[in-house]
Amino acid sequence: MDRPIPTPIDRTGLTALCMFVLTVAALHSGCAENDEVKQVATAPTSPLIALTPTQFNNTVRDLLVLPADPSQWPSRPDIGVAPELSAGGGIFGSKAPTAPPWPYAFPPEAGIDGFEGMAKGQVPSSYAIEQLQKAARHYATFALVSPAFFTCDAEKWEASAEADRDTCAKDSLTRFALRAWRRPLTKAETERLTALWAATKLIGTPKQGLALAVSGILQAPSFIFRVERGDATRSAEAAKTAAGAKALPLSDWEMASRLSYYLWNTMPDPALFAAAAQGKLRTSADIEAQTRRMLDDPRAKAALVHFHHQWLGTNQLHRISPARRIYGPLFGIDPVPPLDTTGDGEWPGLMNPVRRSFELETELFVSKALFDKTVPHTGTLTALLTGDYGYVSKYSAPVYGVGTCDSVTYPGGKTGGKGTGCTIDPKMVDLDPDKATTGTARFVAAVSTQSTFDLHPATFPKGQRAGVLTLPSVLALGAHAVHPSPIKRGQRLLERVACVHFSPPPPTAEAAAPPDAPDDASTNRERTALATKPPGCAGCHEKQGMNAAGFAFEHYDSFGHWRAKDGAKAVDASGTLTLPGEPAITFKDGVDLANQLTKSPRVQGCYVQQHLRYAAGVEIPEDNPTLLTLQKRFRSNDNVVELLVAITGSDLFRYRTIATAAQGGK
Amino acid sequence: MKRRDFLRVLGFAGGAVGVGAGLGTASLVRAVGGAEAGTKAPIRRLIVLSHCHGWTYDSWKMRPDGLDVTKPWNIDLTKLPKDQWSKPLAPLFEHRQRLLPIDALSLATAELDMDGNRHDTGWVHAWTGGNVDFSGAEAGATHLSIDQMVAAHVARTDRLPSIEMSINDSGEPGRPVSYDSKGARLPLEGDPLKVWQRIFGPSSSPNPLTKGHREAMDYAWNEFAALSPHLDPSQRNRLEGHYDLVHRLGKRLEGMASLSCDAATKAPGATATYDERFDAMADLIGAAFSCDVTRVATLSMGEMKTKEFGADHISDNVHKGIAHSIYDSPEKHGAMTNYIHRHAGQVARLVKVLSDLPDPQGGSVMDHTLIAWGSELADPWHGYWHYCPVLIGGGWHFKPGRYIYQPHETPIEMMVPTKYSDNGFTKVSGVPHQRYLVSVAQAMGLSTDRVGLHAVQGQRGDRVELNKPLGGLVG
Repeated sequence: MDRPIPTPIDRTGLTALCMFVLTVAALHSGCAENDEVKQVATAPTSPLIALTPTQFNNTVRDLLVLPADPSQWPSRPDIGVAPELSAGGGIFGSKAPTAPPWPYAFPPEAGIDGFEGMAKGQVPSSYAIEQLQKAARHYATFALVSPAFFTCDAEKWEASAEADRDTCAKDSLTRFALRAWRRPLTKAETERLTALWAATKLIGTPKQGLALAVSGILQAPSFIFRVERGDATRSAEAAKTAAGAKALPLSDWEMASRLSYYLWNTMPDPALFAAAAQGKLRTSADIEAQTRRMLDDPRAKAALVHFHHQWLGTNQLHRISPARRIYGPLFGIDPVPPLDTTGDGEWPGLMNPVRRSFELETELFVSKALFDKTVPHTGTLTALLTGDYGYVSKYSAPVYGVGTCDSVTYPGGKTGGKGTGCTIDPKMVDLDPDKATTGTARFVAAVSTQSTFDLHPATFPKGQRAGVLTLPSVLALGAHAVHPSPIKRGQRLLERVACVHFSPPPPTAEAAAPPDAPDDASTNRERTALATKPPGCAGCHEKQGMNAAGFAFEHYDSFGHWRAKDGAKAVDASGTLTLPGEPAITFKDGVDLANQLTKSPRVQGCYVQQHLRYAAGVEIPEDNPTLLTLQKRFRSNDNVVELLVAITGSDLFRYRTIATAAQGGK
Repeated sequence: MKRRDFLRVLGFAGGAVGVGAGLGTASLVRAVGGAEAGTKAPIRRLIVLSHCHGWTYDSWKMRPDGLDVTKPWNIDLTKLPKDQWSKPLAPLFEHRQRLLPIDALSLATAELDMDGNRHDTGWVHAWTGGNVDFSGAEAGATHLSIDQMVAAHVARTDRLPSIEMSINDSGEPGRPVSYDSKGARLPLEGDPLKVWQRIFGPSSSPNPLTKGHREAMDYAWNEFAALSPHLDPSQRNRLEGHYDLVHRLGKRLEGMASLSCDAATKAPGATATYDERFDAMADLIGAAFSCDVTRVATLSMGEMKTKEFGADHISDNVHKGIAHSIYDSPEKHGAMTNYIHRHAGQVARLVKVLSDLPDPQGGSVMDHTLIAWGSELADPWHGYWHYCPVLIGGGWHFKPGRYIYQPHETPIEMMVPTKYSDNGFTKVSGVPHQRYLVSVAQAMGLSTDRVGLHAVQGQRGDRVELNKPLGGLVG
């Protein structure tokens, strides 16, 4: 999402916008456009939600109006305010990698079912707080070189007369806080900010004082949290919710932030700020217009891809770790690492670009399924579950069974792989080598360095791949080091795709799992079925279909590599799956199952539920009226973009629930 | 600089210095109060020492009286004559009543997590008990390291939770020992002066920007206080949880700035050799513990130059020139024996420093300290087979003064030189080292039976439980 740094004219525009925003906001305060009293269908609670690590970084980037490419950032002023960026050290004298200025490496959220931004998954810790403070200091220093910070001439500010310097600092800080907090400041807030500057300007140099004040703005609750109090002046719009609790419409500024963080994962842009200032985010029509405008922006595509990464769990690809002793030969390397220093980094040096290739393929697949109008069923859940296309790099080529499309050069110059040049088996993949998207990957262990590689669009043979469920990224996450895990794959499919919930496994479950060791005497399916046969296991594994959903993908090994045989026996991926409230689905393999799941009302409804809970940051009960309405509409049109438009226009998105006494409210 | 001089400039021979940062009257952090009052519970301290390249087991082990290696046993070290001590352990003879060398373990889980650099994998396993994560720019962990587990339990809220140091030489930076709860390495500091500045700098020469950082945090806290009344109680609780932690961070900043202790008058001078740097770090640990600036220290002992242990005639590179060839060359095996012997001498000096320092609770600082000395490998050949950590101190929990032996019986195959096994693998390993880490955690007062992984499968599918302390250490 590269965007140009504003020219001086743009900066003038920013100033004008902020003045306009403040003025119009004052004019609109107290206005209640809609006096209609109605019952609304809101979320069960409206908790305080913090910016996610992604949102924090995106917001600061946009606040500072700096590019998404960190190599294009200006140098960080060396004024002693920012912490040292720790980048660790290389091994045995090798050069340590340099930490980029952006994004800041926050600890990830605990999350809920893989999703960040869920209130209950945002558990504060002393470590996270320390990192927030350090990040505030780090980014605050960059404000001094941001094209969007100073309201006066940045070059002359420090040397200007004290009165002029003071005025500019206060104006700059106020404008920055307005954008950082995504709303106009109250008089008291402005006074406290002025007091902060009065204190920090006495500490060190003027630039140090200014950076310290900016760091205070970035540590304040109105920046770190998406504070939503609702607009009490419009309380008559919604006397109570469908569930009986009180509800308030979000204020215009709060609505602007909700839209921007849901659809873009970052702060509102000038157009949204202007709409908020003019009170044009109150009606469904206004919100729909903004939503459609925003969905045309590349940030929306990136945010939607980000959602699907979380839904599929593919933001956890660093966890996949197939065993070299089993899969090394697939990549043309010895199963046992040589015990000398040259061989040390071979496997992790290969796994990282493979993981990165999987990750990029997932992103490109989702983008293609949802936005490329040349593919069948574009923009639908059907396209996500059935697309027979993908993207192959020289690193992932062995997984797709196409040999290697290029020699693999490891750090230190050693080459691996099965040889040079492409060895494409047309039975495995139809590769278009003329089209490519370039990605980057990082090698680690022996030497930390970056490498670029190409991902080529590919179409797979009929019956081998179908949508996200057969992407190597998703399959590799459902696997052990040696064998694929039907249990992991089945559980993930049912929980994330069909919203089937399981009780925690008994304490003995882990010990009862089949050994993850080579075994040609039986198949993985046979061992799993045997291990989960006892009555204490059968409820989840057989009745609820965990095993059946997982067995469907037995044609794919721990890497997602297609296989016809498991050991000496032919793979059996057939089965019958019964989702709650629906007739049984009999399938011959994972591709067949994925195709049939597109017609399942439960799967369609679950997809809507995942979007809605992500939008709200809380769990949405299955009987929530907004959810039911959205599900009904989605089942009829299977249109993901229209689903997002419907969500932002819904009561659940536009109103907040006032906590009842039982919820800890008054 | 001589060690005695170093102690003198640290102030152990001089008068007390009480320095404060001068706090503003409206400060949040000031409202919290100054340094924490002394705790009623006894203070327990932990030092984690980690050297490179493991041990030369054949010269490290002790086998007096031809004991039966098929059964567990232990030796009373206080009664073992010095001439029967192995060369790598002999320098610790003076502290034998505090010692617990453990001849029973393997880094078995590192062998199972084999898909990577064996040094990197070993470092993560050795100190976190968990698997390595190779997906980032550097090898990360998947679990919290033992020192950070303990620090979270024993640290004062107004002081440093832990200090992480390294000895650097020959370009080797000293490898990571500490990993945070997200698996990221905590940075090591190899310059004694910078360690001193971290420990005593805030109190001896307050950085004016520290006050500025507190101003910024106070401002954020005041914004919270102003906003809070307008929120639902549930939202308020969420915000309070966040800003309570901000408040604690401020408290630590203030505590460090207002430190008052009979130490820290001058910063350390330049150090030229590995030994000098080690001694400087040892003195800093002693001073930090004595002043209760921190209760957990880690010291990563990077590679020594070959001339430090008399092997420069073989090679000038320990790693590539000597370490990996110990099973092919008796000369190189002997050189690595001397390498470990040299480290043992350094560790003995650390124990001496701590034993000579009086502790406010009575006795010496060492009486209230546990040292866990380990490495990232079991042997310099890249092996994980015979892992030989040494515990020193911790007499309030362990029964030290003994050499512990347990036979290898765990069903995990370990890679070994073909001189030990035709196919290059043993059938069994020693006790996975996680259980010794659990023992350390329990000795430090944690009520846990798990450090890192709780169970693994051997290569043949056998399940191995890791979640219990190592037998035989308590007595």
